Amino acid sequence: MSEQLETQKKPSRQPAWEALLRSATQPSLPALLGTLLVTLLLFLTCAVVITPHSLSSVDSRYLLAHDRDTLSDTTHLCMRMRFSRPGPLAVAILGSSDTRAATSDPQEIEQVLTQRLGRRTPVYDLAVPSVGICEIAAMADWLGEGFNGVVVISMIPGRLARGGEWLEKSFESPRLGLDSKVFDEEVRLAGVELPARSGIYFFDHYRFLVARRKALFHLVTGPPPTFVRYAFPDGEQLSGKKWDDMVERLQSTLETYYENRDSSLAVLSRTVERLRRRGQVEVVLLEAPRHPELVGPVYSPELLADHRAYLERFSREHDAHYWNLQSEANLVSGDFRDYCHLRSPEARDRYTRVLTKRLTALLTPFLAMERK
Amino acid sequence: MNTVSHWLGIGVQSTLLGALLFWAIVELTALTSGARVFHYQGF
Repeated sequence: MSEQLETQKKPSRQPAWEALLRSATQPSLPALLGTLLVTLLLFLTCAVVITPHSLSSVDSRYLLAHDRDTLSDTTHLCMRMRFSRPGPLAVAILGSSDTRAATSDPQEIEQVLTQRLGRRTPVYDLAVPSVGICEIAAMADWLGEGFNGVVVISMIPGRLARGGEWLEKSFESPRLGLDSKVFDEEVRLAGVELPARSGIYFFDHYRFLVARRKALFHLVTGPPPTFVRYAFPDGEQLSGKKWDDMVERLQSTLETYYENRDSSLAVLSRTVERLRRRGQVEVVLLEAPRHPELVGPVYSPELLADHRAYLERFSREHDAHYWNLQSEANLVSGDFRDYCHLRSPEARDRYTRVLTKRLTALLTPFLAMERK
Repeated sequence: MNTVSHWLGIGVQSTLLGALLFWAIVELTALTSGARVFHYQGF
């Protein structure tokens, strides 16, 4: 009997640390349930904490997967614009590598505009590599309520030539982490089936987020990368096989130009209407610089004339502006790296000067309207 | 005292394993969903 009592008392004499160690290392049902609960709580915390609003207030560098992660940078910039309100007058450039290669740092443009207009005029450079028309619609949707100023949309024949199959691919690996009903609507109209949406940012954009999961480690390992805006090394011009491959790729893209142009412009038309409904906006369709030697081998003069006439008509109908600054900026073959990217800072400066001059003229009436 | 230690131990185990399971699911999702960060020439 006394032996029995001794055995029963034994566990209570076990040192506290030993009990802790044992329960921390031995499998048990409570530990299993606790593990599942902690996992669930972590997912729920992410769903609650990771939202466009919270991301917009984080340093954008903590979203960068690498120092040239333009897609994260543009996503973050869109979020900031939505939640911080860009101010009474601003310029947003919705473009791609062509606009980025052709223009100087947006802060330089902002400085010049601010000086000329006598008031701060922020310039937002929202660039997505090979941007699609639906992505332009999504970015425009994110500009925020009450955006006033100029929205520049980069135009290039190949951009209008893309069809729905390209959109399907963009769901497998989404490029922008932007929640946009407008994007979803445009995709639906393009006849592409949308993935299911839960309405929770973390779950709807998990592909964008998990692809950048390692960026989180910068919180522990040290300073995050600094974003490199532009990466084409000066002096490098495509030649030989690389040039031939590019020509072949462009020719293949343009094969569907006439097939998809109308539907692309319909998306653009709806985008312009939405922008107008939200604020006082001047829309500029900016034709990207084009390597002069490709007129003929890639771009037939008929296609270019037709493209130009089509966009001019679109601009007239939508009270927008169609700008082609190539001749005004005196761009010649030597200024190009490839079909549309300028390669020298000097050519970029020339192009930026012309663009800034045009933007100033377009923004000046806004000041007069404000005074009234 | 030992009851507290016992549940504390379970709490420690659950937290560590829960965090590991969470990260494993994230990694698995990243590997199987095709999610990736694009590298573009010129950007």
